Amino acid sequence: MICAEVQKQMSAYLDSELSDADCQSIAAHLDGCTACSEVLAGFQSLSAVAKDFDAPSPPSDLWRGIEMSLDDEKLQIVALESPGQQRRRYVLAPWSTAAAILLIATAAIWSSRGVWNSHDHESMEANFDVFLAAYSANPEQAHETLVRAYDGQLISRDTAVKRLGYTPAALDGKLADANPEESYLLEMPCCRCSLTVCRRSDGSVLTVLEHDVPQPEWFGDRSRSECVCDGVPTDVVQVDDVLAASWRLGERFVTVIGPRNLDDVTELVSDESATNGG
Amino acid sequence: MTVTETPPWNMKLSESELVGACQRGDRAAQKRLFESTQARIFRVIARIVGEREAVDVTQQAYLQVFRKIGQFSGRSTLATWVYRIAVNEALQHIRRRGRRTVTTLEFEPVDHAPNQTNIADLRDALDAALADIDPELKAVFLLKEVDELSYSEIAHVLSIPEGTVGSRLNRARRELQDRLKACGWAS
Repeated sequence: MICAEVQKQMSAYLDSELSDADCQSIAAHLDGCTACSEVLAGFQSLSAVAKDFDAPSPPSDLWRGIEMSLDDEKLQIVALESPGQQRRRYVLAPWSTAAAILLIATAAIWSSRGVWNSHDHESMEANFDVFLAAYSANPEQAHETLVRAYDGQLISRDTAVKRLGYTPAALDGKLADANPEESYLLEMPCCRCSLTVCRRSDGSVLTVLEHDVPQPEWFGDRSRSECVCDGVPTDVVQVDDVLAASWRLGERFVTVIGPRNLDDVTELVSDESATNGG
Repeated sequence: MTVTETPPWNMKLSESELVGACQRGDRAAQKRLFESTQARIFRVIARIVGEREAVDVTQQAYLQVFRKIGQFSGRSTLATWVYRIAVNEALQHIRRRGRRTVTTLEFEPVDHAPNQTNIADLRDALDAALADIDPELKAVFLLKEVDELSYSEIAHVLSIPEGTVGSRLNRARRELQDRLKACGWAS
């Protein structure tokens, strides 16, 4: 065996993960090779030091914090703030006055545009219901429902600019840790909207919709909370084991489905606000 | 894999019964699962994210466990499933934090040779070096060296091929050695 082959398997050799035959070949090489023996000795030293690491014990009140969060979730409020995260401020309030004003204003805009009727409304809510119900089980495929229902066309960055008049933030890489995989243009009753499927570094999926007007009805009667994440008013809805969050970005609105918790939402909101100078 | 724990339930409650009770939001069952796994979960999270942030991340990890308990399929033990979620939560945390925090070694480059008197310093230096390498490499190193998992167990926990475990360990060990040498520690 040559040194490169031996060193490629050095960890597996040290950790006894090789077959007897491979072990014997490497041992034979090490007998006559100072360079490889030094690499092995270095690895062994690291192991010895790592094994000497302290084993920290959990604090006695750890369960109490978890229980409190579980109680909060039971009340349909997502509140994961903890002492180490106090620099971020989440203001949680019931879906109340401000939301009602927003809904009235939105309804007024739709009404003045006269672009869709109650049938459109019900059908869109139903389509989103199917989409959201499928999301937890298969987020990669769930968006197909919307693509089929709204004549979804695969778009590039350039096409997006031409058809939408802007580059979707998700397609432009402005959402941190969200690598855009494909983007569609949807002709929805309310507006022309972009849908971008993004992959995160942990393999999970984020679906990002960018639209002209707020769309609270996409989430039907799911429980929602009004939050302020890093200063940005954000509506948050629990969709099975992920969240959906919606906030204003300049002249349009962004709705993201897939964040795992409120910290995750705050990261997305603050990253996008920062890249847009907000 | 064989991440072993004290059985999280008494003889009258099977694993599937415990899972069912947790799914129904039975607080006593949730607490029982927590108590039987917390020592190992807190330890591995503390090693990955650091003790200062371990409490927050452990809380997040258990919330994920209870949110996702309906997805537990029984293909691994419940303790292993919880462990996997915890490691991934810790990794997710340092990926997020990594974009905003620059960790640097705080050791002056002086000549050291490990001996009984400075072994604690070497341990601290290794701890600092671990904070400086790629989170994926850090995780695989800690799961091997501290939790003593086999390559197949590490592959399962991190959802990576078994062959990748060996190559990542090689890289982790080399990068750690390089950093320690840069601080004057002989290999």
